[in-house]
Amino acid sequence: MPPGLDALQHIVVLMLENRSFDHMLGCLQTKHPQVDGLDGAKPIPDSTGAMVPIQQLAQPRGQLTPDPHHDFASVDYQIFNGDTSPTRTPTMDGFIRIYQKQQQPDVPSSHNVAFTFSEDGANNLPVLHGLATQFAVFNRWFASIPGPTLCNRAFAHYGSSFNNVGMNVFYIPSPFKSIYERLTAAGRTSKLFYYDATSSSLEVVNLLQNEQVMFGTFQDFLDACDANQLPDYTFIEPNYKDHPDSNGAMLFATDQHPDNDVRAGEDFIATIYNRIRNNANLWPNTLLLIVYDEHGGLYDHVPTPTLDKSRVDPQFVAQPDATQTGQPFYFNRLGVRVPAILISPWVQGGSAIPDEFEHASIPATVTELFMPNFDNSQRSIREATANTFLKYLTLGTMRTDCPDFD
Amino acid sequence: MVTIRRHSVPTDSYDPKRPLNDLLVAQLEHFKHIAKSLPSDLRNAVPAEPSIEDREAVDRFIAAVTGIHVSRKKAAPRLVAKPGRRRQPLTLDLAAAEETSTENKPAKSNSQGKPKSKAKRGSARSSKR
Repeated sequence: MPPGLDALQHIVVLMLENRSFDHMLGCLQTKHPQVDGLDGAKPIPDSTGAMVPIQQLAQPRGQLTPDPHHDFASVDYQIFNGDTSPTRTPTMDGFIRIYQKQQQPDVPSSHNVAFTFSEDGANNLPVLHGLATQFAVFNRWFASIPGPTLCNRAFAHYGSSFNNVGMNVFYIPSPFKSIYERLTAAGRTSKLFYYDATSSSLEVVNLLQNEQVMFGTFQDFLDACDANQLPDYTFIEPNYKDHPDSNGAMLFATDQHPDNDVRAGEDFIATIYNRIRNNANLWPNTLLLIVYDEHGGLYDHVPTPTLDKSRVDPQFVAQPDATQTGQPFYFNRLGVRVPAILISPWVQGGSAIPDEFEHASIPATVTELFMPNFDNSQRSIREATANTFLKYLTLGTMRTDCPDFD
Repeated sequence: MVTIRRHSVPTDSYDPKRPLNDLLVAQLEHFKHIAKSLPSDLRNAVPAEPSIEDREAVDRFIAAVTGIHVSRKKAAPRLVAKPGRRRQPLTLDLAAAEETSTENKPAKSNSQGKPKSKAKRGSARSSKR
């Protein structure tokens, strides 16, 4: 067994909001060819048929109002550019056209969904880009559903969204327990840390209502790090909204959801990383995954994959009234590619992971590490067949060159 | 070891009155649902259901309902013996131990005594428990 895997005691997952891979990391390909990003020459059409180049003009805030639609039907349009034929293939070129529809009459700002950040300009992302180039970036991590936030986050918590392709989270009673409930039943520890009471959790209906002991605040997470009392599995929710703290000081939204300031999310990522990185009792035995729940209507060039039948749960189907496309959805296609970075001193620096991942890979990996004999009949086929990421802790010696953020 | 500098977040990015996005609207609806399921004595402590236009009221409502739920925490389950994988913390000898932290102290101390309306570096660190 590789020493990094042998040492591993904690998995920490930070799930951010609504940014695509190319939007955040696509620029890195120029200097880091292992990253499957953009070569700068892949224009997509607007509603007039004019071809619009993908440009490194994204700004930390102010460009994505109104929030680009990312409900199931809109994402379907973004992927297939409106093609509804039975033989359609994903062309990944409907992003601007659907945003123009949303912003009637058409305005030039609809091109903003095709803007990306840069590596060298003032609009760079030093934290995310630093981690992506210093650790391992997933070149094929997709949202689990071509749809919005909550059904995608459900795959991270339950390995399924149970027929849902929207913002409904009323899963009780669901056929499969959450990863937190499973860990608790197995005598393991886990916690879902929301930012604070005002931001709270997106898992309120299913878990906070009934399983309060599984929750803590972000301050609790920081304290647990400092006290060397991190649970076996940690899931962190960012701050979803600007609001004052009890002293009236400004607390920025850190989720990076459009149009919240991306720099506040960068700061949040760095804070979490530093807290683990600078604790000698945690850094060698903690695996940190940073991942985004879905693309938020922002452009990515990699076609969304269709799943093999062996990965599909046959009992789940979203009916046409839920998809709003006129067609049912059998949970056999993944969503748009999102940024995901694997961080550990046992991960090869500057590497890229080519295999296909989705959010069901999160409970699948946690189960592999902490409950290796778990009964597969008690979890979804999607989760049981998802790729896991422990195998990338490959180094024989722990790295000592990992970056820090000031 | 490379030290990477973060961008600062300008204070004019702060907008607590920013309209709720679809995610927050859904979150509010879920909180309305579970607030209705609270026992009547606790339900009385919850503010009136806010509209999505009233951002401050939304914040108060969600914070109040969250507070009620977390205060009702059940006792932590007694843990059974863990199978297998739990190990002693890996002793960090070598260079990692030399990489002395420059990271800030626990958030509690950082968040004390800050003047009002001043943006905090790493707003995450400033949350109160």
